[in-house]
Amino acid sequence: MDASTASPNSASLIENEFQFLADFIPQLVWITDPAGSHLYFNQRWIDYTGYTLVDSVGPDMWNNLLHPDDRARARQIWGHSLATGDDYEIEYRFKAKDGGYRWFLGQAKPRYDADGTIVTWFGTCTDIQDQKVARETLAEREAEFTTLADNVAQLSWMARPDGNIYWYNKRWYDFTGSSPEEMAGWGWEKVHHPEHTNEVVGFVRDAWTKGEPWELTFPLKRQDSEYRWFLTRAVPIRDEQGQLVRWLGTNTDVTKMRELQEQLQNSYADLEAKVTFRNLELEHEVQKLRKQVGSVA
Amino acid sequence: MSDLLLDVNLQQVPDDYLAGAWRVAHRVLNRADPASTLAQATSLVLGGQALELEAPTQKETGSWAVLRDELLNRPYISLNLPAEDLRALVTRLRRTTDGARAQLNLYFSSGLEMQLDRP
Repeated sequence: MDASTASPNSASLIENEFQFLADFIPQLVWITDPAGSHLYFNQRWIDYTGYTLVDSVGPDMWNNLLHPDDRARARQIWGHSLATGDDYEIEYRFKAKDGGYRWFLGQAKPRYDADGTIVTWFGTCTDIQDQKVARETLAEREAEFTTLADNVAQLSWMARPDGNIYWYNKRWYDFTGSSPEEMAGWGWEKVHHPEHTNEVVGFVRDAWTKGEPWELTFPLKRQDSEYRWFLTRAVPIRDEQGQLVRWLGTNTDVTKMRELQEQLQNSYADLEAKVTFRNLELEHEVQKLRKQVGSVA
Repeated sequence: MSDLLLDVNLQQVPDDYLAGAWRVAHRVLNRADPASTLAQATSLVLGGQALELEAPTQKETGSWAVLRDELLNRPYISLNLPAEDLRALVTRLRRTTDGARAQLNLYFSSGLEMQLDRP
């Protein structure tokens, strides 16, 4: 319906409908003049903050409602929008009537007249408390995971189902002296021993397609160019539908263990040789005695 | 040239790798007679066939030879001294790639074990 042709009754009806709409939507709604002075609050604003339009005159409302840590930033961004006409957008904390703070996404757009002059600002505040808390919890968990992953004794990595590695822990970069750019995708081949690369690549390509846990021992080049032996273990991570979503892998330095194993094998071989040698000596003695006995007889 | 001592495969070790003037670097006596010249030896010179055994207060000469037995996967040495004949199993030989330095481990039938260094 064209508002210019609407009857007084229908204009009143539309105004009522807009009023209902403004109070019905879940946001806090406000309107200001071009200088930023409030002209309208919806009921939800009044219910949440306890401030009416009359209470909003002067700086007290802003000082009382905004979280102290957000005041300067809010003033700066709102001041910029008022001065330039740029859209207003900010995340800040507003105090409720009961004294508690909640996070809101504040947004406002200017309305212009035919001359291009700002007539009013229409703004909303959307409650984002739950999302904000969820985001902070997620960031906290991610920070905890990163701390754990970077401090475990192993080199760790995560790969997509096709084996394209997209994440390494800090220990990997510290050990190899490489950068994330160098290691992206199949970049890990750069730190493999040339004599083992083909075997390893062949093995893992096969393993990616099977989707079963696997392990393999091979040398990796340290940043000082020395090779160390690592036991690599990888497990497939699946979603609720059993679909492979990523691989989680670790590389454990087993160089010392291999050296000890080799020493142990050498010791056994030495012992076996010593026993054989001693038996041989006894055999020589026996033969010598037989000769002596034979010559006496 | 690398100064690293590398293990020599004892199944294929040439006899002349065992020759030379060896210094006794370390010994484990076990049940061997601690007063014997061998137990107190400070150096062992394995020449062509000649053997010189030197201890702080005595010196003995004799002959030596490298022996092999199909039961053993490594050589052993026969040391013939005026008072006795000894046999020692080569348990390890390590040397630099140029042969300038070497380390020889011997196990005698008396139980005596010696580590010889060259030079």
